[in-house]
Amino acid sequence: MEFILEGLVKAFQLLFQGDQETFSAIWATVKVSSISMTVSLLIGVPLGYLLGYLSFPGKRAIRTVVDTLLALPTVFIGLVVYAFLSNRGPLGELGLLFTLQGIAIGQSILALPIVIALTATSVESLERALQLTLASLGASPLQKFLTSIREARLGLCIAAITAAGRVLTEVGISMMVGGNIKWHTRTITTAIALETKKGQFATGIALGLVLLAMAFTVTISLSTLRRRN
Amino acid sequence: MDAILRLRNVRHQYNGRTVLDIPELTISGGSITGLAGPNGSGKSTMLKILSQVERCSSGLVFFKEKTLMSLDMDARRLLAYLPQETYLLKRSVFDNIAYGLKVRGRNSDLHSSVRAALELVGLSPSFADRQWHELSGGESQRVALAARLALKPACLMLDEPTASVDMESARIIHRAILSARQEWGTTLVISSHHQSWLNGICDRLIYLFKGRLLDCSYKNVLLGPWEKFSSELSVMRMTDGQLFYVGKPPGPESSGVMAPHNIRITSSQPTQGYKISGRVTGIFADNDPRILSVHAVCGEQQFSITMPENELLKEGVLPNQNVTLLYSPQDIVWLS
Repeated sequence: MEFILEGLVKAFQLLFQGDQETFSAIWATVKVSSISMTVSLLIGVPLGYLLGYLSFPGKRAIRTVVDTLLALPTVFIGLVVYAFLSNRGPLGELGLLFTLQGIAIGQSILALPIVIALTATSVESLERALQLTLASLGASPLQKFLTSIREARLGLCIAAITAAGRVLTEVGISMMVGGNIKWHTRTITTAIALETKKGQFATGIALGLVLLAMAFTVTISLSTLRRRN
Repeated sequence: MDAILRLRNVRHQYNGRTVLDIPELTISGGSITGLAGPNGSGKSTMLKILSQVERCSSGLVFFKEKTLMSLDMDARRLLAYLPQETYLLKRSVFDNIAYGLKVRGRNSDLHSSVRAALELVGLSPSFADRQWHELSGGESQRVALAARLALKPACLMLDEPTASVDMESARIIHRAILSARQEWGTTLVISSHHQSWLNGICDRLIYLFKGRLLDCSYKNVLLGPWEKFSSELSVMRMTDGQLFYVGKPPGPESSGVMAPHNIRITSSQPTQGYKISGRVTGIFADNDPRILSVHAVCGEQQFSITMPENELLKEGVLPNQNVTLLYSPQDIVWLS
Protein backbone atom coordinates (compact mmCIF):
# COMPACT_ATOMS: atom_id res chain seq x y z
CA MET A 1 0.00 0.00 0.00
CA GLU A 2 2.89 2.32 0.87
CA PHE A 3 4.39 2.16 -2.62
CA ILE A 4 1.05 3.18 -4.12
CA LEU A 5 0.86 6.26 -1.88
CA GLU A 6 4.47 7.11 -2.66
CA GLY A 7 3.68 6.69 -6.35
CA LEU A 8 0.73 9.06 -5.99
CA VAL A 9 2.85 11.77 -4.36
CA LYS A 10 5.57 11.39 -7.00
CA ALA A 11 2.91 11.48 -9.71
CA PHE A 12 1.76 14.92 -8.60
CA GLN A 13 5.39 16.06 -8.48
CA LEU A 14 5.94 14.86 -12.05
CA LEU A 15 2.82 16.62 -13.27
CA PHE A 16 3.36 19.91 -11.45
CA GLN A 17 7.09 20.05 -12.24
CA GLY A 18 6.30 19.50 -15.92
CA ASP A 19 8.28 16.26 -16.36
CA GLN A 20 9.18 16.21 -20.06
CA GLU A 21 8.84 12.45 -20.58
CA THR A 22 5.40 12.44 -19.01
CA PHE A 23 4.22 15.41 -21.03
CA SER A 24 5.63 13.92 -24.23
CA ALA A 25 3.29 10.92 -23.78
CA ILE A 26 0.34 13.20 -22.97
CA TRP A 27 1.02 15.36 -26.02
CA ALA A 28 1.36 12.28 -28.27
CA THR A 29 -1.99 10.99 -26.98
CA VAL A 30 -3.77 14.31 -27.50
CA LYS A 31 -2.31 14.65 -31.01
CA VAL A 32 -3.05 11.12 -32.20
CA SER A 33 -6.54 10.94 -30.71
CA SER A 34 -7.42 14.35 -32.20
CA ILE A 35 -6.42 13.15 -35.68
CA SER A 36 -8.24 9.83 -35.34
CA MET A 37 -11.40 11.46 -33.96
CA THR A 38 -11.46 14.08 -36.72
CA VAL A 39 -11.06 11.41 -39.41
CA SER A 40 -13.64 9.06 -37.89
CA LEU A 41 -16.20 11.86 -37.45
CA LEU A 42 -15.69 13.26 -40.96
CA ILE A 43 -16.22 9.80 -42.49
CA GLY A 44 -18.51 8.25 -39.88
CA VAL A 45 -21.15 10.97 -39.48
CA PRO A 46 -22.19 11.14 -43.19
CA LEU A 47 -22.10 7.32 -43.46
CA GLY A 48 -24.11 6.95 -40.25
CA TYR A 49 -26.63 9.50 -41.49
CA LEU A 50 -27.09 7.64 -44.77
CA LEU A 51 -27.39 4.33 -42.93
CA GLY A 52 -29.99 5.75 -40.57
CA TYR A 53 -31.90 7.85 -43.10
CA LEU A 54 -32.06 5.70 -46.23
CA SER A 55 -33.96 2.48 -46.77
CA PHE A 56 -32.25 0.11 -49.18
CA PRO A 57 -31.86 -3.63 -49.72
CA GLY A 58 -29.15 -5.04 -47.48
CA LYS A 59 -29.44 -2.28 -44.89
CA ARG A 60 -30.01 -4.74 -42.05
CA ALA A 61 -26.99 -6.78 -43.11
CA ILE A 62 -24.82 -3.64 -43.11
CA ARG A 63 -26.15 -2.67 -39.67
CA THR A 64 -25.25 -6.14 -38.38
CA VAL A 65 -21.71 -5.82 -39.77
CA VAL A 66 -21.27 -2.34 -38.26
CA ASP A 67 -22.62 -3.51 -34.91
CA THR A 68 -20.24 -6.48 -34.97
CA LEU A 69 -17.30 -4.15 -35.66
CA LEU A 70 -18.14 -2.29 -32.44
CA ALA A 71 -16.46 -5.13 -30.56
CA LEU A 72 -13.32 -5.25 -32.72
CA PRO A 73 -10.33 -6.14 -30.51
CA THR A 74 -7.68 -3.42 -30.63
CA VAL A 75 -4.86 -5.96 -31.00
CA PHE A 76 -6.58 -7.35 -34.10
CA ILE A 77 -6.82 -3.85 -35.62
CA GLY A 78 -3.19 -3.31 -34.63
CA LEU A 79 -2.21 -6.54 -36.35
CA VAL A 80 -4.06 -5.69 -39.60
CA VAL A 81 -2.77 -2.10 -39.72
CA TYR A 82 0.77 -3.36 -38.92
CA ALA A 83 0.51 -5.86 -41.79
CA PHE A 84 -0.60 -3.16 -44.21
CA LEU A 85 2.00 -0.55 -43.11
CA SER A 86 5.00 -2.86 -42.71
CA ASN A 87 7.66 -2.88 -45.42
CA ARG A 88 6.18 -6.03 -46.92
CA GLY A 89 2.64 -4.68 -46.77
CA PRO A 90 0.72 -2.92 -49.56
CA LEU A 91 1.11 0.50 -47.87
CA GLY A 92 4.70 -0.06 -46.70
CA GLU A 93 6.07 2.58 -49.09
CA LEU A 94 4.23 5.30 -47.18
CA GLY A 95 6.56 4.81 -44.22
CA LEU A 96 3.80 5.17 -41.65
CA LEU A 97 4.76 2.26 -39.39
CA PHE A 98 5.94 3.43 -35.95
CA THR A 99 4.57 6.93 -36.51
CA LEU A 100 1.70 8.81 -34.85
CA GLN A 101 -0.08 8.89 -38.21
CA GLY A 102 0.07 5.09 -38.31
CA ILE A 103 -1.50 4.90 -34.84
CA ALA A 104 -4.14 7.43 -35.98
CA ILE A 105 -5.09 5.16 -38.90
CA GLY A 106 -5.61 2.24 -36.52
CA GLN A 107 -7.56 4.34 -34.01
CA SER A 108 -9.76 5.76 -36.80
CA ILE A 109 -10.65 2.18 -37.76
CA LEU A 110 -11.46 1.53 -34.10
CA ALA A 111 -13.67 4.64 -33.76
CA LEU A 112 -15.39 4.50 -37.14
CA PRO A 113 -17.95 1.71 -36.39
CA ILE A 114 -18.87 3.43 -33.11
CA VAL A 115 -19.50 6.76 -34.84
CA ILE A 116 -21.42 5.13 -37.72
CA ALA A 117 -23.60 2.91 -35.51
CA LEU A 118 -24.49 5.59 -32.95
CA THR A 119 -25.08 8.25 -35.63
CA ALA A 120 -27.37 5.87 -37.53
CA THR A 121 -29.29 5.12 -34.33
CA SER A 122 -29.75 8.78 -33.45
CA VAL A 123 -30.84 9.65 -37.02
CA GLU A 124 -33.30 6.72 -36.98
CA SER A 125 -34.73 7.95 -33.71
CA LEU A 126 -35.44 11.42 -35.11
CA GLU A 127 -39.14 11.91 -35.62
CA ARG A 128 -40.38 11.15 -39.12
CA ALA A 129 -42.13 14.51 -38.97
CA LEU A 130 -38.73 16.24 -39.09
CA GLN A 131 -38.03 15.05 -42.64
CA LEU A 132 -41.57 15.98 -43.69
CA THR A 133 -41.12 19.43 -42.15
CA LEU A 134 -37.77 20.02 -43.86
CA ALA A 135 -39.19 18.92 -47.21
CA SER A 136 -42.26 21.10 -46.69
CA LEU A 137 -40.04 24.14 -46.05
CA GLY A 138 -38.11 23.56 -49.28
CA ALA A 139 -34.79 22.28 -47.87
CA SER A 140 -32.37 20.77 -50.40
CA PRO A 141 -30.84 17.32 -49.70
CA LEU A 142 -27.69 18.95 -48.28
CA GLN A 143 -29.73 21.32 -46.12
CA LYS A 144 -31.79 18.34 -44.89
CA PHE A 145 -28.58 16.50 -43.98
CA LEU A 146 -27.09 19.45 -42.10
CA THR A 147 -30.34 20.23 -40.26
CA SER A 148 -30.91 16.58 -39.32
CA ILE A 149 -27.37 16.39 -37.97
CA ARG A 150 -28.05 19.49 -35.90
CA GLU A 151 -31.33 18.05 -34.63
CA ALA A 152 -29.55 14.82 -33.68
CA ARG A 153 -26.68 16.73 -32.04
CA LEU A 154 -27.04 15.12 -28.63
CA GLY A 155 -26.88 11.63 -30.17
CA LEU A 156 -23.86 12.65 -32.23
CA CYS A 157 -22.08 14.04 -29.18
CA ILE A 158 -22.68 10.77 -27.39
CA ALA A 159 -21.26 8.93 -30.42
CA ALA A 160 -18.17 11.17 -30.47
CA ILE A 161 -17.61 10.91 -26.72
CA THR A 162 -18.03 7.14 -26.71
CA ALA A 163 -15.56 6.83 -29.59
CA ALA A 164 -13.13 9.21 -27.88
CA GLY A 165 -13.32 7.12 -24.72
CA ARG A 166 -12.39 4.00 -26.68
CA VAL A 167 -9.59 5.75 -28.59
CA LEU A 168 -8.03 7.34 -25.51
CA THR A 169 -7.88 4.11 -23.55
CA GLU A 170 -6.74 1.62 -26.19
CA VAL A 171 -3.30 0.02 -25.88
CA GLY A 172 -3.15 -2.65 -28.61
CA ILE A 173 -3.00 -0.37 -31.66
CA SER A 174 -0.62 2.15 -30.11
CA MET A 175 1.71 -0.60 -28.98
CA MET A 176 1.74 -2.63 -32.22
CA VAL A 177 1.59 0.15 -34.82
CA GLY A 178 3.40 2.86 -32.83
CA GLY A 179 6.05 0.66 -31.27
CA ASN A 180 6.04 2.64 -27.98
CA ILE A 181 9.07 4.75 -29.02
CA LYS A 182 10.13 7.22 -26.30
CA TRP A 183 9.68 10.91 -27.22
CA HIS A 184 8.05 9.82 -30.46
CA THR A 185 5.12 7.38 -30.42
CA ARG A 186 4.80 6.68 -26.70
CA THR A 187 1.22 7.44 -25.67
CA ILE A 188 -0.30 7.56 -22.18
CA THR A 189 -1.56 3.99 -22.26
CA THR A 190 1.63 2.43 -23.69
CA ALA A 191 3.69 4.45 -21.23
CA ILE A 192 1.60 3.19 -18.28
CA ALA A 193 2.07 -0.40 -19.48
CA LEU A 194 5.84 0.06 -19.82
CA GLU A 195 6.42 2.01 -16.60
CA THR A 196 4.39 -0.46 -14.56
CA LYS A 197 6.41 -3.30 -16.05
CA LYS A 198 9.59 -1.44 -15.01
CA GLY A 199 8.24 -0.88 -11.49
CA GLN A 200 8.03 2.92 -12.05
CA PHE A 201 4.63 3.40 -10.48
CA ALA A 202 4.92 7.17 -10.12
CA THR A 203 4.99 7.84 -13.86
CA GLY A 204 2.29 5.23 -14.40
CA ILE A 205 0.04 6.79 -11.76
CA ALA A 206 0.73 10.33 -13.08
CA LEU A 207 -0.34 9.30 -16.56
CA GLY A 208 -3.28 7.38 -15.16
CA LEU A 209 -4.43 10.52 -13.36
CA VAL A 210 -4.28 12.44 -16.64
CA LEU A 211 -6.40 9.75 -18.31
CA LEU A 212 -8.86 9.98 -15.43
CA ALA A 213 -9.01 13.77 -15.81
CA MET A 214 -9.70 13.34 -19.53
CA ALA A 215 -12.48 10.83 -18.81
CA PHE A 216 -13.92 13.19 -16.19
CA THR A 217 -13.91 16.09 -18.67
CA VAL A 218 -15.68 13.89 -21.20
CA THR A 219 -18.35 12.87 -18.66
CA ILE A 220 -18.92 16.45 -17.53
CA SER A 221 -19.24 17.61 -21.15
CA LEU A 222 -21.79 14.90 -21.83
CA SER A 223 -23.96 15.68 -18.82
CA THR A 224 -23.79 19.42 -19.61
CA LEU A 225 -24.93 18.71 -23.16
CA ARG A 226 -27.78 16.53 -21.89
CA ARG A 227 -28.93 19.28 -19.56
CA ARG A 228 -28.84 21.89 -22.34
CA ASN A 229 -30.92 19.65 -24.61
CA MET B 1 -59.31 32.70 -62.37
CA ASP B 2 -56.62 30.66 -64.19
CA ALA B 3 -55.74 27.19 -63.01
CA ILE B 4 -52.60 27.15 -60.89
CA LEU B 5 -52.64 23.47 -59.92
CA ARG B 6 -53.95 20.62 -62.02
CA LEU B 7 -54.03 16.90 -61.37
CA ARG B 8 -54.43 14.52 -64.30
CA ASN B 9 -54.91 10.76 -63.83
CA VAL B 10 -53.13 10.89 -60.48
CA ARG B 11 -52.93 7.57 -58.68
CA HIS B 12 -50.98 6.85 -55.56
CA GLN B 13 -50.39 3.54 -53.87
CA TYR B 14 -48.93 2.37 -50.58
CA ASN B 15 -47.81 -1.27 -50.61
CA GLY B 16 -49.96 -1.98 -53.67
CA ARG B 17 -53.08 -0.41 -52.11
CA THR B 18 -54.51 2.55 -54.01
CA VAL B 19 -54.98 5.46 -51.63
CA LEU B 20 -55.64 8.20 -54.18
CA ASP B 21 -57.23 8.06 -57.61
CA ILE B 22 -58.04 11.45 -59.15
CA PRO B 23 -58.78 11.45 -62.90
CA GLU B 24 -58.90 15.26 -63.21
CA LEU B 25 -58.89 18.17 -60.79
CA THR B 26 -58.16 21.84 -61.30
CA ILE B 27 -57.46 24.41 -58.60
CA SER B 28 -57.76 28.08 -59.51
CA GLY B 29 -55.09 30.62 -58.62
CA GLY B 30 -55.87 32.68 -55.53
CA SER B 31 -58.67 30.34 -54.44
CA ILE B 32 -59.17 28.61 -51.11
CA THR B 33 -60.09 24.97 -51.63
CA GLY B 34 -61.25 22.78 -48.78
CA LEU B 35 -60.71 19.02 -48.64
CA ALA B 36 -63.27 17.12 -46.61
CA GLY B 37 -63.70 13.44 -46.00
CA PRO B 38 -63.36 10.79 -43.32
CA ASN B 39 -60.03 9.47 -41.98
CA GLY B 40 -58.10 7.54 -44.62
CA SER B 41 -59.90 9.23 -47.49
CA GLY B 42 -56.62 10.49 -49.02
CA LYS B 43 -56.68 14.13 -47.94
CA SER B 44 -53.16 14.19 -46.50
CA THR B 45 -51.78 12.19 -49.42
CA MET B 46 -53.30 14.64 -51.88
CA LEU B 47 -51.77 17.62 -50.06
CA LYS B 48 -48.36 15.95 -49.95
CA ILE B 49 -48.54 15.26 -53.69
CA LEU B 50 -49.68 18.80 -54.48
CA SER B 51 -46.79 20.25 -52.50
CA GLN B 52 -44.32 17.71 -53.95
CA VAL B 53 -43.35 16.39 -50.57
CA GLU B 54 -44.38 13.04 -52.01
CA ARG B 55 -44.44 11.91 -55.64
CA CYS B 56 -47.54 10.21 -57.00
CA SER B 57 -47.19 6.61 -58.24
CA SER B 58 -48.57 7.59 -61.64
CA GLY B 59 -50.19 10.55 -63.35
CA LEU B 60 -49.22 14.19 -63.66
CA VAL B 61 -49.46 17.22 -61.41
CA PHE B 62 -49.11 20.61 -63.06
CA PHE B 63 -48.12 23.88 -61.42
CA LYS B 64 -48.78 26.80 -63.77
CA GLU B 65 -48.91 24.41 -66.76
CA LYS B 66 -45.55 22.82 -65.93
CA THR B 67 -45.33 19.37 -64.38
CA LEU B 68 -44.03 19.39 -60.81
CA MET B 69 -41.29 16.98 -61.83
CA SER B 70 -39.90 19.49 -64.35
CA LEU B 71 -39.76 22.38 -61.88
CA ASP B 72 -36.39 23.66 -60.69
CA MET B 73 -35.70 24.15 -57.00
CA ASP B 74 -36.71 27.84 -57.03
CA ALA B 75 -40.08 27.07 -58.61
CA ARG B 76 -40.70 24.15 -56.23
CA ARG B 77 -40.11 26.50 -53.34
CA LEU B 78 -43.16 28.49 -54.38
CA LEU B 79 -45.16 25.60 -52.89
CA ALA B 80 -45.32 25.19 -49.13
CA TYR B 81 -46.96 22.59 -46.95
CA LEU B 82 -47.96 22.47 -43.29
CA PRO B 83 -48.12 18.84 -42.12
CA GLN B 84 -50.78 17.65 -39.73
CA GLU B 85 -48.11 16.67 -37.20
CA THR B 86 -46.48 19.95 -36.32
CA TYR B 87 -42.75 19.61 -35.79
CA LEU B 88 -40.63 22.49 -34.58
CA LEU B 89 -36.86 22.38 -34.91
CA LYS B 90 -35.03 22.28 -31.58
CA ARG B 91 -34.30 25.99 -31.82
CA SER B 92 -35.88 29.31 -30.95
CA VAL B 93 -39.13 30.45 -32.51
CA PHE B 94 -37.12 33.00 -34.55
CA ASP B 95 -34.88 30.28 -36.00
CA ASN B 96 -37.89 28.09 -36.76
CA ILE B 97 -39.63 30.82 -38.73
CA ALA B 98 -36.42 32.03 -40.39
CA TYR B 99 -35.42 28.50 -41.48
CA GLY B 100 -37.45 28.44 -44.70
CA LEU B 101 -36.24 31.95 -45.59
CA LYS B 102 -32.62 30.97 -45.01
CA VAL B 103 -32.82 27.85 -47.19
CA ARG B 104 -34.13 30.13 -49.95
CA GLY B 105 -31.20 32.51 -49.42
CA ARG B 106 -33.57 35.30 -48.34
CA ASN B 107 -31.34 36.45 -45.51
CA SER B 108 -32.03 40.17 -45.70
CA ASP B 109 -34.67 41.57 -43.38
CA LEU B 110 -35.03 38.29 -41.52
CA HIS B 111 -36.10 40.06 -38.35
CA SER B 112 -38.87 42.09 -39.98
CA SER B 113 -40.10 39.01 -41.94
CA VAL B 114 -40.26 36.93 -38.76
CA ARG B 115 -41.99 39.73 -36.86
CA ALA B 116 -44.58 40.18 -39.62
CA ALA B 117 -45.25 36.41 -39.75
CA LEU B 118 -45.68 36.27 -35.97
CA GLU B 119 -48.12 39.16 -36.04
CA LEU B 120 -50.06 37.47 -38.81
CA VAL B 121 -50.72 34.47 -36.55
CA GLY B 122 -51.54 36.67 -33.57
CA LEU B 123 -48.28 36.22 -31.64
CA SER B 124 -46.28 39.13 -30.26
CA PRO B 125 -42.73 39.75 -31.62
CA SER B 126 -41.30 38.84 -28.20
CA PHE B 127 -42.29 35.24 -28.97
CA ALA B 128 -39.32 35.07 -31.34
CA ASP B 129 -36.94 34.54 -28.40
CA ARG B 130 -38.82 31.59 -26.96
CA GLN B 131 -37.45 28.08 -27.31
CA TRP B 132 -39.43 25.34 -29.04
CA HIS B 133 -40.14 23.54 -25.78
CA GLU B 134 -41.67 26.63 -24.17
CA LEU B 135 -44.74 26.62 -26.44
CA SER B 136 -48.22 25.14 -25.97
CA GLY B 137 -49.79 22.96 -28.67
CA GLY B 138 -51.79 25.86 -30.12
CA GLU B 139 -48.76 28.18 -30.08
CA SER B 140 -46.62 25.54 -31.81
CA GLN B 141 -49.27 25.19 -34.51
CA ARG B 142 -49.34 28.96 -35.02
CA VAL B 143 -45.52 29.19 -35.13
CA ALA B 144 -45.46 26.38 -37.72
CA LEU B 145 -48.04 28.28 -39.78
CA ALA B 146 -46.04 31.51 -39.38
CA ALA B 147 -42.96 29.67 -40.74
CA ARG B 148 -44.94 28.92 -43.94
CA LEU B 149 -46.57 32.33 -44.20
CA ALA B 150 -43.16 34.05 -43.90
CA LEU B 151 -42.26 32.42 -47.22
CA LYS B 152 -45.17 34.18 -48.98
CA PRO B 153 -45.76 31.03 -51.06
CA ALA B 154 -47.73 30.93 -54.30
CA CYS B 155 -49.56 27.84 -53.03
CA LEU B 156 -49.93 26.75 -49.44
CA MET B 157 -51.23 23.33 -48.48
CA LEU B 158 -52.51 23.04 -44.91
CA ASP B 159 -53.23 19.63 -43.40
CA GLU B 160 -55.71 19.87 -40.53
CA PRO B 161 -54.43 23.27 -39.32
CA THR B 162 -57.06 23.46 -36.58
CA ALA B 163 -56.96 19.82 -35.45
CA SER B 164 -55.38 20.42 -32.06
CA VAL B 165 -56.06 24.06 -31.33
CA ASP B 166 -58.69 25.90 -29.30
CA MET B 167 -61.41 28.04 -30.85
CA GLU B 168 -59.41 31.25 -30.44
CA SER B 169 -56.41 29.76 -32.28
CA ALA B 170 -58.74 28.43 -35.00
CA ARG B 171 -60.14 31.94 -35.44
CA ILE B 172 -56.61 33.44 -35.69
CA ILE B 173 -55.55 30.78 -38.20
CA HIS B 174 -58.68 31.58 -40.22
CA ARG B 175 -57.74 35.28 -40.27
CA ALA B 176 -54.08 34.54 -41.17
CA ILE B 177 -55.17 32.36 -44.11
CA LEU B 178 -57.42 35.09 -45.46
CA SER B 179 -54.59 37.64 -45.07
CA ALA B 180 -52.20 35.41 -47.04
CA ARG B 181 -54.65 35.27 -49.91
CA GLN B 182 -55.44 38.95 -49.78
CA GLU B 183 -51.84 40.21 -49.44
CA TRP B 184 -49.89 37.84 -51.71
CA GLY B 185 -52.61 36.12 -53.73
CA THR B 186 -51.64 32.77 -52.18
CA THR B 187 -53.67 29.79 -53.36
CA LEU B 188 -54.66 27.62 -50.41
CA VAL B 189 -55.71 23.99 -50.21
CA ILE B 190 -56.85 23.04 -46.73
CA SER B 191 -57.95 19.73 -45.28
CA SER B 192 -60.00 19.65 -42.12
CA HIS B 193 -62.44 17.56 -40.19
CA HIS B 194 -64.13 20.75 -39.02
CA GLN B 195 -66.59 21.01 -41.86
CA SER B 196 -68.22 24.14 -40.51
CA TRP B 197 -64.78 25.82 -40.22
CA LEU B 198 -64.00 24.78 -43.80
CA ASN B 199 -67.36 26.05 -45.00
CA GLY B 200 -66.60 29.39 -43.44
CA ILE B 201 -63.27 29.88 -45.21
CA CYS B 202 -63.32 28.00 -48.52
CA ASP B 203 -64.47 29.12 -51.95
CA ARG B 204 -64.87 25.50 -52.92
CA LEU B 205 -65.16 22.24 -51.04
CA ILE B 206 -63.95 18.91 -52.42
CA TYR B 207 -65.05 15.64 -50.85
CA LEU B 208 -62.74 12.68 -50.85
CA PHE B 209 -63.78 9.17 -49.99
CA LYS B 210 -61.42 6.20 -50.17
CA GLY B 211 -59.09 8.23 -52.37
CA ARG B 212 -61.73 9.25 -54.90
CA LEU B 213 -63.49 12.52 -55.51
CA LEU B 214 -67.05 12.41 -54.38
CA ASP B 215 -69.90 14.21 -56.09
CA CYS B 216 -70.11 17.47 -54.16
CA SER B 217 -73.87 17.11 -53.82
CA TYR B 218 -73.22 14.22 -51.39
CA LYS B 219 -71.94 15.37 -48.05
CA ASN B 220 -73.25 12.71 -45.72
CA VAL B 221 -70.92 9.73 -45.74
CA LEU B 222 -72.26 6.80 -43.72
CA LEU B 223 -69.58 4.25 -42.92
CA GLY B 224 -71.55 1.52 -41.12
CA PRO B 225 -71.07 -1.21 -39.94
CA TRP B 226 -74.59 -2.35 -40.82
CA GLU B 227 -76.74 -4.84 -38.98
CA LYS B 228 -79.58 -6.67 -40.69
CA PHE B 229 -82.93 -5.39 -39.38
CA SER B 230 -85.40 -7.02 -41.80
CA SER B 231 -85.34 -8.50 -45.28
CA GLU B 232 -85.54 -4.97 -46.69
CA LEU B 233 -83.70 -2.87 -44.13
CA SER B 234 -80.40 -2.68 -42.30
CA VAL B 235 -79.41 -0.35 -39.48
CA MET B 236 -76.37 1.57 -38.29
CA ARG B 237 -76.17 1.81 -34.52
CA MET B 238 -75.17 5.36 -33.54
CA THR B 239 -72.95 6.05 -30.51
CA ASP B 240 -75.94 7.41 -28.57
CA GLY B 241 -77.97 4.23 -29.23
CA GLN B 242 -80.21 5.58 -31.99
CA LEU B 243 -80.71 3.51 -35.15
CA PHE B 244 -80.26 4.84 -38.68
CA TYR B 245 -82.24 2.76 -41.20
CA VAL B 246 -81.04 2.15 -44.75
CA GLY B 247 -81.94 -0.09 -47.68
CA LYS B 248 -80.07 -3.37 -48.03
CA PRO B 249 -76.29 -2.66 -48.23
CA PRO B 250 -73.95 -4.67 -50.50
CA GLY B 251 -72.03 -5.83 -47.41
CA PRO B 252 -71.93 -5.29 -43.64
CA GLU B 253 -68.93 -2.90 -43.92
CA SER B 254 -70.21 -1.00 -46.98
CA SER B 255 -70.11 2.78 -47.18
CA GLY B 256 -72.91 4.93 -48.46
CA VAL B 257 -73.78 8.57 -49.01
CA MET B 258 -76.98 10.51 -48.69
CA ALA B 259 -77.57 13.80 -50.48
CA PRO B 260 -78.25 16.77 -48.16
CA HIS B 261 -81.47 17.64 -49.98
CA ASN B 262 -82.86 14.16 -49.24
CA ILE B 263 -82.88 14.86 -45.51
CA ARG B 264 -85.43 17.17 -43.89
CA ILE B 265 -85.03 18.85 -40.56
CA THR B 266 -87.63 20.05 -38.06
CA SER B 267 -87.77 21.33 -34.53
CA SER B 268 -91.05 19.47 -33.92
CA GLN B 269 -91.39 15.83 -32.84
CA PRO B 270 -92.99 13.95 -35.77
CA THR B 271 -94.43 10.55 -34.99
CA GLN B 272 -94.39 9.16 -38.51
CA GLY B 273 -91.50 8.20 -40.84
CA TYR B 274 -87.85 7.34 -40.38
CA LYS B 275 -86.25 9.85 -38.07
CA ILE B 276 -83.26 10.52 -35.89
CA SER B 277 -82.65 13.12 -33.17
CA GLY B 278 -79.74 15.51 -33.13
CA ARG B 279 -78.53 19.03 -32.49
CA VAL B 280 -77.89 21.87 -34.95
CA THR B 281 -74.20 22.87 -34.96
CA GLY B 282 -74.42 25.58 -37.61
CA ILE B 283 -76.46 27.18 -40.36
CA PHE B 284 -74.68 28.51 -43.47
CA ALA B 285 -75.61 30.18 -46.71
CA ASP B 286 -74.72 28.19 -49.85
CA ASN B 287 -73.95 29.67 -53.27
CA ASP B 288 -77.68 30.21 -53.76
CA PRO B 289 -78.64 32.57 -50.90
CA ARG B 290 -82.19 31.18 -50.84
CA ILE B 291 -80.89 27.73 -49.92
CA LEU B 292 -79.41 27.26 -46.46
CA SER B 293 -77.09 24.50 -45.35
CA VAL B 294 -77.71 23.13 -41.87
CA HIS B 295 -75.10 21.06 -40.02
CA ALA B 296 -76.37 18.75 -37.33
CA VAL B 297 -74.76 16.13 -35.18
CA CYS B 298 -76.54 12.90 -34.15
CA GLY B 299 -74.44 10.82 -31.76
CA GLU B 300 -71.03 11.38 -33.35
CA GLN B 301 -72.34 11.32 -36.93
CA GLN B 302 -72.35 14.67 -38.71
CA PHE B 303 -75.14 15.45 -41.16
CA SER B 304 -75.48 18.21 -43.70
CA ILE B 305 -78.98 19.19 -44.78
CA THR B 306 -79.92 21.73 -47.42
CA MET B 307 -83.35 23.39 -47.30
CA PRO B 308 -84.90 26.56 -48.72
CA GLU B 309 -84.66 29.43 -46.27
CA ASN B 310 -88.44 29.90 -45.99
CA GLU B 311 -89.02 26.20 -45.17
CA LEU B 312 -86.30 26.26 -42.57
CA LEU B 313 -87.90 29.30 -40.93
CA LYS B 314 -91.25 27.53 -41.01
CA GLU B 315 -89.73 24.50 -39.23
CA GLY B 316 -88.28 26.82 -36.59
CA VAL B 317 -84.73 25.48 -36.88
CA LEU B 318 -82.12 27.52 -35.01
CA PRO B 319 -78.43 26.96 -34.14
CA ASN B 320 -77.73 24.76 -31.11
CA GLN B 321 -81.34 23.54 -31.11
CA ASN B 322 -82.40 19.94 -30.64
CA VAL B 323 -84.02 18.80 -33.89
CA THR B 324 -85.35 15.75 -35.71
CA LEU B 325 -83.95 14.62 -39.05
CA LEU B 326 -86.37 12.88 -41.43
CA TYR B 327 -85.12 10.69 -44.25
CA SER B 328 -85.98 7.77 -46.48
CA PRO B 329 -83.84 4.60 -46.10
CA GLN B 330 -83.94 4.09 -49.87
CA ASP B 331 -82.20 7.44 -50.57
CA ILE B 332 -78.80 6.05 -49.64
CA VAL B 333 -76.36 5.58 -52.52
CA TRP B 334 -73.87 2.78 -51.92
CA LEU B 335 -70.24 3.47 -52.72
CA SER B 336 -68.84 0.03 -51.99
